[in-house]
Amino acid sequence: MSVIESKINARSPEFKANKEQYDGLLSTLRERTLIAIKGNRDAHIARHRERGKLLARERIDLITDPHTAFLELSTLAAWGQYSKDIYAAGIVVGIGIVHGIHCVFIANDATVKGGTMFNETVRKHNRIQEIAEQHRLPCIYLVDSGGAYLPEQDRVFPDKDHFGNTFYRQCRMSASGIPQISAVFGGCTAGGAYIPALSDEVVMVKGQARIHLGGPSIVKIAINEEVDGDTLGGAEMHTSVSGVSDYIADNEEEALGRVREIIGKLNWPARNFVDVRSVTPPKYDSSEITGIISADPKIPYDVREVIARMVDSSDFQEFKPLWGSTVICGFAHIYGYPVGIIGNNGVLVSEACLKAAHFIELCNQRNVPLLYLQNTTGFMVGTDAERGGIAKDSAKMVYAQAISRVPKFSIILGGSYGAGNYGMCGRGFRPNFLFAWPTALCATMSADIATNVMLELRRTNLKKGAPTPEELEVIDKTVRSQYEEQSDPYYATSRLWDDGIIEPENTREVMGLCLALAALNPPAEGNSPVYRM
Amino acid sequence: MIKTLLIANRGEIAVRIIRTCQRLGIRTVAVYSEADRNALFVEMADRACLIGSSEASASYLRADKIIAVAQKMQADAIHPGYGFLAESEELIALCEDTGITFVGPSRQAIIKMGSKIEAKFIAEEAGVPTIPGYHGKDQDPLVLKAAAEKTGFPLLIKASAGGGGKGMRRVDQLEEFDEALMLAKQEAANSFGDDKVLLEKLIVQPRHIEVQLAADKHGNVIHLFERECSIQRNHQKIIEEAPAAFLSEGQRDAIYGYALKLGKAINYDSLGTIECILDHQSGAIYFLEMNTRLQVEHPVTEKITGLDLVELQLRTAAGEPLPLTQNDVKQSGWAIEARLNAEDPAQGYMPEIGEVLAYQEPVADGIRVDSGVQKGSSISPFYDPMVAKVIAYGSDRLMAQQRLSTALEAFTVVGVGTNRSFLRDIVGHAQFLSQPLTTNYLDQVFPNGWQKPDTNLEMAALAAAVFHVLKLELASGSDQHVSPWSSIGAWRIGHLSGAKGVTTLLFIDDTEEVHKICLSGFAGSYSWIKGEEVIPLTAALTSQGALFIELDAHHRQYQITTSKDRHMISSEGDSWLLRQISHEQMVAREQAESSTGGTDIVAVMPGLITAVEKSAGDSVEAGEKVVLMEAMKLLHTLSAPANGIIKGIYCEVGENVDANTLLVEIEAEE
Repeated sequence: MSVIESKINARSPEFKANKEQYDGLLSTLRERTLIAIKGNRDAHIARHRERGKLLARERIDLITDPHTAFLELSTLAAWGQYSKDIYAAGIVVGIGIVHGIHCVFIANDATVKGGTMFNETVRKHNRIQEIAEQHRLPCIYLVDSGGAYLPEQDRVFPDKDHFGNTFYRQCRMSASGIPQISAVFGGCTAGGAYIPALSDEVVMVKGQARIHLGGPSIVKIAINEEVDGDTLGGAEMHTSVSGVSDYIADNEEEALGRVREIIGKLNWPARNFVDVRSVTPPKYDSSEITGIISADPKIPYDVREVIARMVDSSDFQEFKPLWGSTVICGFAHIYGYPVGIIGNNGVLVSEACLKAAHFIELCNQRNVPLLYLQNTTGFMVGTDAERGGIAKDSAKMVYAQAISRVPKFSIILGGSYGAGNYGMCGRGFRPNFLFAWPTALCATMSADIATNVMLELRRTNLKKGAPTPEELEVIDKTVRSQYEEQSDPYYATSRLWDDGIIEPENTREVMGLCLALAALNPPAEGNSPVYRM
Repeated sequence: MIKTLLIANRGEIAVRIIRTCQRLGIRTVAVYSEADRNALFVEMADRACLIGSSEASASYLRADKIIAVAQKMQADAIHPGYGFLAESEELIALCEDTGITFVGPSRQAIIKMGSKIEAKFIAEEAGVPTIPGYHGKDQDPLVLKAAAEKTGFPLLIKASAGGGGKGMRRVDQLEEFDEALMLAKQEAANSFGDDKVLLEKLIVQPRHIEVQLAADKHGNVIHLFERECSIQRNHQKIIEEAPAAFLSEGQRDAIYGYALKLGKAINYDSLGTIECILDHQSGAIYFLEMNTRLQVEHPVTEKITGLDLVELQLRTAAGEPLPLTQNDVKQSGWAIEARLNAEDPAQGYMPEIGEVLAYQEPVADGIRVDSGVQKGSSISPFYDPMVAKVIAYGSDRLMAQQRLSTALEAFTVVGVGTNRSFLRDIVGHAQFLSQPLTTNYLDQVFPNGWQKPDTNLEMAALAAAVFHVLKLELASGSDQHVSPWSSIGAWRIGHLSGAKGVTTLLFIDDTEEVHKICLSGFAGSYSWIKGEEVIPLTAALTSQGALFIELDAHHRQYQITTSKDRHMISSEGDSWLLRQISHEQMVAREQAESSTGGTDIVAVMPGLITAVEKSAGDSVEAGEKVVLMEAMKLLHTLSAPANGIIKGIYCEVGENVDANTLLVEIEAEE
């Protein structure tokens, strides 16, 4: 046992000030999360209920095993991007357990623009399918969607990671043995029809569900046939005539029960490929994290204080504690699952890079998943650093991480700037999951530095002549506001640069859930060398 | 003294007798049927022999088999307990033939008291009053009228050949007699083809008072005071106490006197009970019958006298003189006994059968429990449904009553329904303490029949749901690794934002009604979501496994035992059995209900088919009697659940069927 001894004084004015500031950030997050989940659309929700329909998350509550977790991703996708709010991009995606089997859920929210698909809707759809494929999780589609949102069709339909890709993934997963199950609660028109049609098993709700390539209005225009929706593509027709559907349900609850039954009979044995331990809580309260994170991002804090509030028994076996101190590496357990943690304690210098690369190799050799806690301005710059080979040392850290074969997880606690984002396993390096805290700042560089760089470029631009103070002021204002806006965590999460914003206090739970998913997969085969650097 | 005693009985009384034998150093031999192979008394006895299959007629009523075992095991005495062969002439005769001591009175006493008519005659001879009436052969209306006048009013005119209330008339005054007699004779003639009647005084408010006698083979007869057993269901005692309340010293002395007179008149030589009826209105006492055996309710006498009646019985049977004289017998305090039966008092005392999944007797000052069951015991349909007797003793009646109430609330029997709440309500009713008891007590205090307190059924379902949820969460603190997916509750990304996951749990009660409980929250702090209403509550499990729920500032405690999907919930003396079902099981139920409508007849418990009144192809109406089944000494009518045609009958008269056997298939009318 190497229990971290915390040096935090929860009664200090700094702690209280930090916490107060963070509480403000959290109240914004909670307010926005609640709106995304069920806010500002009472009339739509009431109309939905009048039709005897359950809300998307209520359906998930009833399919998942009672009193078990559901990890919803990207709840704030599409936040603030459209003239009208497209709450959670009109789709609920996440992971839950059914009969103890981890399953991916993709549930349209018909109370948001009729469940039609925007760019972020399709990307959430694709992202969770990617997770399903990577972790081999059966997929449950709870379909209730009007298809592509036509005014946005150029951002939804044509590209390689647009709507078509969801079907591509569905087929490939099914063929590779990952079950694809659909329950249809509403319309599935045109492209939407292929979600059930390409599924392994389909349940339709009588009187509500419809599947048709062309709806009644298109049929009227195309072949001048008058037909009502239920005759054209209702549950009874598809279950007893066309065979598009396999089961009919009298109501939603029955359909959800049928899905549970299907999952329960999948022949899907429980898997676990890591050495799990009994679970012990951290020695320190995770609610204290918000008092540790400095209100001013320029004031550093010790990431070990965060780790102490996240891992089992606060037991953290730190690797090379006396060398390369700006990166913290070590072994721990979260909810009984082994994890190797890499956290920033300042700028990444050469020694820190080499230590991290060594540690990544260790984790690969032992099949221990990696957790990155990002909070860095990046790699060290300057003559000494360059002469010391920071470029090749940082490259080692990036390289080792990029070819790492163990599951990787990233949490952006604070700064995630420039090459630091690469070294610490940013989105481009495909971590299994990436979450951000409300204090996350993800950009090529901070707004301060970006502004100064642009000002400096203008000053040294001889072609344009000497800048006027007004000109410089405009540059300052434009660049600063651009960087500030774009490094805001809501800007990032709205665009699916992460899998969601989570609270520091929840991070242990989220990581426990993610590590449990990662433990479902066998380790990669083959040698994994450990080069001492 | 007896060296080896064979106990020709089962259940609590066998256990009771073994305990005294253990104390006295007497070796015990139990005999048991197949149904009792794992019973407590078999476990406790020094030796045990199987004597036959489960039906009493093949085992406990087989005197020949019992004697054979006694000889084989070299038992020098047989204790018959109560019921079965306790008053059997056959067993005594066989004992006499084989030289085995019968722990009970002489053969003569049993024969004399075995016939009610003879017993009554002997009593009258001895100067002990019996219920007045006329049993004469002379049916002249004038003779009858004169006899009626002598008997007094109100009285009953009964058909001599009768039974079941037919030909029975109540007459309140002399002027009504002639007309009533004419009608009764007509009815008797029509019903039985015999118009003979008898007259009997009607006792409107009868109290059942009995005297415990102890006698030996040396001519000593003493009484051990009285017991009151007025509270009866279906003519079977359920609450007994000693001494009797609201009895004057004069009445007491009179009844002791009658008992001693009768005992001496028949040279009684063992333990016995003189049962009497006390007319509450007139105060008159009448001899009813004598039981020549140990009574179920003997413990209340033991509590107030400090004697071991089984020991007295064994010693006198062995020829020893009574160890004490009438003057030595003293009584102090008060004792009340309640019979805990596996039966449903709200459903006509329908027997409950099954396995005892959990069993916890109350332990407290002044509480004695005589029981034949333990955890894992089966309550079978073959014998009487008594689970245990709870005997409360106190310095006065109030204390005994309070102790009994509390003990009944603390008694946990899981897996088999009992009459525990009923007993508690009987003893807890204000009238129990305030007025003399009569055999009309249950009709008076439960004029519409006793109802199970179901107001808290929903709370019980809530308790079961909270218990289930807490148990799931508890797994995370165990030594075994448990995945956070199932140990952190219905965790949701927005749970700190107020968007909580909802856990829905479904339970079915014994009327097949579904209770749906929706909860959110974690770690002992939950919200109960009832439609639009959200009720916060806190809950915790104690180290003893009890569940506390604080809701609306009200603190409630529940004992919950779970076996597979069944939850037995007890609280404050009430208990409920709920079965938990999954979402898909509920869906399947709904589908099954809509497709079949449940028109078949299925045996709800194991039993013997005694009549099949229809055949295949017959049409039946809903409620029409189709099959008669005997189970646990009661006859059950199985009727058609709906109008329809009988497609098939899959049982025959005399067949023993298991629970859930399909007996009759009925095709319902559209």
